[in-house]
Amino acid sequence: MTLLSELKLQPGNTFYVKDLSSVDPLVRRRLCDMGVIEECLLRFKGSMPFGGPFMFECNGQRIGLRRKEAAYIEVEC
Amino acid sequence: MNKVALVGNPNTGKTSLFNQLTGSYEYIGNWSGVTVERKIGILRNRLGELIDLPGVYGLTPISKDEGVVSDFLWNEAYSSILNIVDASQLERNLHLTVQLREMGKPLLVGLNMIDVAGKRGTVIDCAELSQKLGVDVIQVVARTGQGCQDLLAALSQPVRQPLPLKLDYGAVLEEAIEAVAKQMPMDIQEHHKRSLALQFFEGNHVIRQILATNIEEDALQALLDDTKKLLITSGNSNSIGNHIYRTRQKFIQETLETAFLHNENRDDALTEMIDKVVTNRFLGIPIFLLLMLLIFKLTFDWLGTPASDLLDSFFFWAINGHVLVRVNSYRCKWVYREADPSWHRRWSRWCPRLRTTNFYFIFLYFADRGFRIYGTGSIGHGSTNGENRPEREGFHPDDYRLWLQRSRHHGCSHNRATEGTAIDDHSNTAYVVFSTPCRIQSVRRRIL
Repeated sequence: MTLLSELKLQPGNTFYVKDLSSVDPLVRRRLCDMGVIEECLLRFKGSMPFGGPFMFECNGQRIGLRRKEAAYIEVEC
Repeated sequence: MNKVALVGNPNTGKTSLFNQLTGSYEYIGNWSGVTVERKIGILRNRLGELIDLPGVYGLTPISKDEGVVSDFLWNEAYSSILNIVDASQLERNLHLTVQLREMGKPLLVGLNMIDVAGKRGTVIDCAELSQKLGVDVIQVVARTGQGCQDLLAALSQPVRQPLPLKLDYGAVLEEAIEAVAKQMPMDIQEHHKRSLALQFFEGNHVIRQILATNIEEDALQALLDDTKKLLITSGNSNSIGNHIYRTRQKFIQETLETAFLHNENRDDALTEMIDKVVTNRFLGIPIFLLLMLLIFKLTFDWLGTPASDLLDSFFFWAINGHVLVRVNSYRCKWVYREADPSWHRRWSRWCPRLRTTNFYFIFLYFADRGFRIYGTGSIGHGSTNGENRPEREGFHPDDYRLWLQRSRHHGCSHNRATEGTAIDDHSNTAYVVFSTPCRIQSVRRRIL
């Protein structure tokens, strides 16, 4: 298990979400609404320049997430 | 009257459907206490009212909009719920449907965007879905209006009230639900208790406040903590909310296994391709700027100028020969300047441009000034005495002078008060300043 912030992300990378407990509760709720829960598959689609948000794909939908908020997601490649 | 609440996830086409079913907004207001729009419309067949609620993912609120929905569904009177569901994202959308089913209120499901789902390779067996959920499911395409007739017909008759959906949340949570349900206030209906208790465990603070009237705050908190501890030690969930979510997820997946006739979930290749180009790291910004330039050119050169010329010629046709002016009396001083035809020309040239650039509010600001000058404001009562009016065809400034003198002489106080006139014999033009509102036709008639 590694924090997302520790990964060297390349567009197209996929990984399983392992733990969301250190993510902000409101963000976690919203992610849960979008279907991002433990054991779900995420694909990194890209990031905006100058520290902008990340884009992930999950269950056929794309999700934009702030770098700061995404950093706390624990994943397994 | 039949009152239907429109509930659904954000971006599933609720408002499109609302417009299709009602034609237009009948009433727009605010939900009390929050600045969230409340839209109520009358169904096209006049057999009911439709209330457009904000989009939510579930009944446990974390924002104002969601609070409105939760509050409305529990506290206000309505005859049925229309749950609109995005067929291309069915798994996510059904979480809300499950929660509504647990509430046990009369429910109708509108399966929207079946065309989008079809393109993505998803075919849904409506009858099977309907049977599994225990409610009627009607296919619609809100964007084109396909299926809306069926939906209207279904909404006009009383929607059957099904028994609340009962999922098995496992021994630990079931016991806790039972315990909370027992202590609920007496006025809550029996079949609502389970759903309320569930939402309390999900962390719905609205429900928690309702419960707090009967159960002590400490006892509630202890119950929550105990249940959470038990769940963590017994199962694989790390919170109550997560456990509830997973239980529903399991039910939804089982439902969809039989309801999906075909599910490929292929990506939209075209969207992907367009994205690749327009959101390209290097090309993205230049493409954006190019588009902006295109829109600028369109509004100012290719569309705006011909449109403003057209409007220009229309106004010159309308005020042909004599410029009619109405301003409030305190503005009299300026009138001669503003009545200058070149000013009109400038104004009318600008206004279509402003419209095309969508700066509609700026247009309105100018229009307020402009319409005062063109005299298209509302008409006041008490019109000019007929016999005082010069009747002759064709207009000569002298006629008007004469008419004015005669009106003053007769002392017609109910005459439309003229604040001042200026007559330009060279261009055969009378500038008239009225202090009360009048419509352009009536003024023209009076002069001619």
